[in-house]
Amino acid sequence: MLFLDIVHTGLASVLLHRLRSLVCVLALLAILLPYLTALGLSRGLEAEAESSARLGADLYVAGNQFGRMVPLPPDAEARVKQLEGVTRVVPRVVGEVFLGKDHQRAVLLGLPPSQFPAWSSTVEGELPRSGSVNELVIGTTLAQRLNLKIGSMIPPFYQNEQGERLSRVVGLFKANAPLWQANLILTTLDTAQAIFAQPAGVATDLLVWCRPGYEEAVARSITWLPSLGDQTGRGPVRFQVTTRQDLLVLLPQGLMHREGLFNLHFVLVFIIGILVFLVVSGLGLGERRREIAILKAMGWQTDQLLLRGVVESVALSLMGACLAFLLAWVWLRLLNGYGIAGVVLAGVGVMPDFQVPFRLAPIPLLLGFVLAFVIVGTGTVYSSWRAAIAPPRDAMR
Amino acid sequence: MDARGVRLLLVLLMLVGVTAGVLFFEARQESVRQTQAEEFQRLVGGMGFGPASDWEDCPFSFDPRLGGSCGLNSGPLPGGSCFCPRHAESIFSYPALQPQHYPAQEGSSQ
Amino acid sequence: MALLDTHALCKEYRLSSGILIRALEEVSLAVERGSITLLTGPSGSGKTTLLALLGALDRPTRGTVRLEGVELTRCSDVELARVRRRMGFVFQDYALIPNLTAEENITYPLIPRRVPPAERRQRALELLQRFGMENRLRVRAGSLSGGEQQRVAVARALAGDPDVLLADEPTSSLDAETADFVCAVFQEFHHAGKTAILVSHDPRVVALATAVYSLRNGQLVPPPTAAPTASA
Repeated sequence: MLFLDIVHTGLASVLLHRLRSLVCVLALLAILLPYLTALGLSRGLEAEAESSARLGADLYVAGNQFGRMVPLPPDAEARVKQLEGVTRVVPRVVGEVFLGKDHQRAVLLGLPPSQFPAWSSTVEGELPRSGSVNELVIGTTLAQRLNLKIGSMIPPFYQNEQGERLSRVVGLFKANAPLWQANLILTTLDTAQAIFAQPAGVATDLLVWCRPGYEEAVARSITWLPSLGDQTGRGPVRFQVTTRQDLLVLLPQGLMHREGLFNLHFVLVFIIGILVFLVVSGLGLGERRREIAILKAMGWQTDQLLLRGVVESVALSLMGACLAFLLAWVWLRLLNGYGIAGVVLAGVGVMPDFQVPFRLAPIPLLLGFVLAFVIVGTGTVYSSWRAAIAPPRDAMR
Repeated sequence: MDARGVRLLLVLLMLVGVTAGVLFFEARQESVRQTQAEEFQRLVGGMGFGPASDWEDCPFSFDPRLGGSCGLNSGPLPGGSCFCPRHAESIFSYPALQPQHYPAQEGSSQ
Repeated sequence: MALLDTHALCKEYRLSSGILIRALEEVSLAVERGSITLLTGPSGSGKTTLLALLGALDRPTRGTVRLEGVELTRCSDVELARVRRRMGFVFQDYALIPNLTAEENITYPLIPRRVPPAERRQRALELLQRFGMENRLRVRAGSLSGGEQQRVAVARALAGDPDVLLADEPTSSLDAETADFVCAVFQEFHHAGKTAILVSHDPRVVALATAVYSLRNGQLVPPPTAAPTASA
């Protein structure tokens, strides 16, 4: 009963010192809101990057010349296909193109139409087919910037000795698809080869799927394959393999870099934290000291006064952490990471044209609460303790 | 019980409740988003891994599979990775792809 | 045995300028159980300091204060809190918590005394009714007039049903009628066999005293005398 009564007075204390509580919660928001928002965004990106590695091909095979990645000649696909353990090989063309009068940069991806499903929930409209017109599926940022809709025709934006063709937008990626669709153009392999003026069969990389357990053996076999012939007159082309494991190894290292930048954020948090500490322990200190002295004179014990301070700190920290979390959610879900998405994601403007990836999990919220409690609790409990151990008459002066 | 205490307790409970609701909602949304991500990745055969939404200046930041390293990365100079505008813009930065198991010499010696 | 007694009590303060102030020097006195002890003397003579030392609100520089033979200077924090719960204080500046209501100012000291919430509220209501302030129950103490604050302070001191009441100028801000009423409350408290230690220049309060100690420059002068109008 006594415990509950003291808890109630601790809660009431938050409302008794309104200015102090308000400044405290605002300072906590200044610390926690950018932290939770940026962490949510980077965790969302991390999840999507993991999907990209996990759901892609087992191996990515590209050409290598002079230590650089180069396209693979037409016979590469056949040579990889014949290796033991390989179940499927899909040639792919990926390159950069420029669209519109402002030379809007786009990533063009060409895949054999046989690889496309009949319908995809990430695409509004249809998937591209081979034909007399280049059929394209356009990303959300491109569609927005070039004002393209399904059915829009795009005049030739490339040069090819065999002639250029009109392009038609047959589909648009949906905004909730991963961010890499934003500037992507998906088309058929032959269309991509034509746009890049490459002969049939040339691919920038091969997607290779293997029988379970054969990935490493196949990767080794591909690396050991003899160099490809000198078809371009620039010397032999070696095979270069990227495995799923190679990608997944990068992920924690990318996260380490993120952690480094979050450490910078924590330096900022530390600086603001000191300010909060000063505010918490200094704002209305005289009034607070006197209040504690009066309660002490009336028979309160030091431990009871400290419990009251702890409850007050828990309430303020909980309020700060929950509000920061909810505002982070509003920022990411309703405002789509306005302003902050460009800090975490490169090439993204103030207002992203796609749904920013984010993941708000309970652990960062809990960490935010603990951090808030450490800062507020230290300020409150320390100043309460200082006042409580002094003789009441001294503290009342 | 103190009326002020009750008021604040109600506000706190409401905040915690709404926060828990948002967490629950996001957990459900996560599966929707995951489905979209899976479908997209299956469609394009695995595309994108880095923090960039395009490959201007640095294909590596868009997808390390398209360029094994960033050409503008001047690490290990302090801040050297930030010479690449794409790296300077994002808080995610990958080191160069290093296929561990198969040195180039082995391939060429066969 | 005296309820409270002091022996060679000294209290010194050092000002920020470094000057040493001797607020009390070698004060030895005894407060008998059931008495109304009056501390008198000119301003700055050490009355309030002595009252604070008797009420375990301050620690002496030298000397001892004993409550029922127990030396307060040797008590732990918890024991001192227990001692303070046996006492009721009326401070010269009222020492109310300005952000709390009149009711809360009275009920908060009852929390460590483990008085149930309903009873706390009931006691606060009864006391404020007695002091004619039932309509000010939920008014912030900071918004009350000086006289009202003093009445709340007296009510707060009595709420815990203390064994000893220590009051510093308890009628200074009250009108004659209310001061008479407060004196009657003290009288009633005394009739219940309880002890009061008062600091006052108010003749009405002086008239209640059963023992008087005069202080000058922190020293007792002259030796204790019996009050001429001892009551009860």
